[in-house]
Amino acid sequence: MKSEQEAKLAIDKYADTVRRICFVHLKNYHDVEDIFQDVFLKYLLCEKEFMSDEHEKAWLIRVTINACKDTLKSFFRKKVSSLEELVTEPHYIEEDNREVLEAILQLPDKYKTVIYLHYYEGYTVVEIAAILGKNQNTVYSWLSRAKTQLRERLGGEPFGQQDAQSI
Amino acid sequence: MDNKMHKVFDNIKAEEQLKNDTYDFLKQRINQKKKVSYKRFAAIVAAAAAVMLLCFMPYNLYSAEAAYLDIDVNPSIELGLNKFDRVISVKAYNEEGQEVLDNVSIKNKSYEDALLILIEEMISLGYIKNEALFTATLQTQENEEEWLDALQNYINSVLQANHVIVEQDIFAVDADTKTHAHDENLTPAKYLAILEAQEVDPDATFDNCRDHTISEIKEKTHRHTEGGNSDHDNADSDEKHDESEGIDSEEDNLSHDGSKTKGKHGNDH
Repeated sequence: MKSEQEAKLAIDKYADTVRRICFVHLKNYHDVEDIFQDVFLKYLLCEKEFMSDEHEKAWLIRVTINACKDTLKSFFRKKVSSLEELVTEPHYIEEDNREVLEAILQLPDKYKTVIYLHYYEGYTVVEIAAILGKNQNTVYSWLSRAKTQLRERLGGEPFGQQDAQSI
Repeated sequence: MDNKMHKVFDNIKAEEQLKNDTYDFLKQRINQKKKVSYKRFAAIVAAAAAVMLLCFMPYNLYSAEAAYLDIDVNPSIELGLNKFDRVISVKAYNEEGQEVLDNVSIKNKSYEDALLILIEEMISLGYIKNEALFTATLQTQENEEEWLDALQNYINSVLQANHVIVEQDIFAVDADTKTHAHDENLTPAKYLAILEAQEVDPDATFDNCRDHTISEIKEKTHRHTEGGNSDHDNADSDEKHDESEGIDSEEDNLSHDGSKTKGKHGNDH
């Protein structure tokens, strides 16, 4: 088990990344709190030796995505909706970016994930495939469909122009 | 657009409260873990002491066989029972016995549960039917009479509950008889029945008789005693036709519920 100090360092270092993934997938703040506890507890108990900071970050991203999926899949959650879910974290939404944010949040979960990992975290398709444990072609298709859907929702505004080089 | 995307996500940051709450939660878990570790250490010490105690005991009480219960209907099965009346070993003495054992799981069950399961399985496979002979032998050093009483009552009640009327022969055997029987890969009841047959028919060897039911062997012995058919090889086809007649002839020796008077049978040979 990791020490208190290591746990604190990890929270300081990766809390924003975990929060962004939660933001993309979840609407309920209580779920976000649960995911935080779940993800960092797994980190605390993890005996794995990370080869680098990048390796550690990729591991946390994967654990967070899986935890979000589990939360969304849970039977209780499917049957019961909280009043809080009606509130979509308004403090993050600035008027300028509202359209882009809403377009991203309307995408299917798997598309939201690849869009976030590729355009914000800067991972390549190969890296995303490794993090998600999916085939590279699958990830490429998701990314391509996600871009198409975003373009349609944003009224044909060009999207991801530097893709050819970064992928 | 890419810049807008960055701006959108840049604005999303983990709330300080969320980070603090998570950190407090982890601290709590770390402290809990330490407390649990002390408890675990105590548990390990206790377990080690228990293992040491078991190692120094003369024998393991649970796994020591205190009694052997052999059942022969024609499926021939032996159950080894420990001091707690639990089945700790199971052995089939013929293919029919193996067939029954393949269908059930009776290890570590009480002997009552095991008997119930075995009897019901034998009924469903068609081995126990009306007018069959249910033989059980017991070999134990302790409380033989109590065991026999309990066995007789229990087997009788299980058979009655399943609406089958069978002749029951339940008796105790000594350790030597059991050992000799097992050397021949037979249950003590069948071994004794064959020895009895050999007294009147020298051709009745263990190998010739092992595939026959005890009632068939007894019927043949009875016919030899009466001066009937002395040809062992021709007996097979006749035995089945005459089986019910043979059983009827023994009915005088039976109590009203079909069970025979119990007693200890030994090997005089």
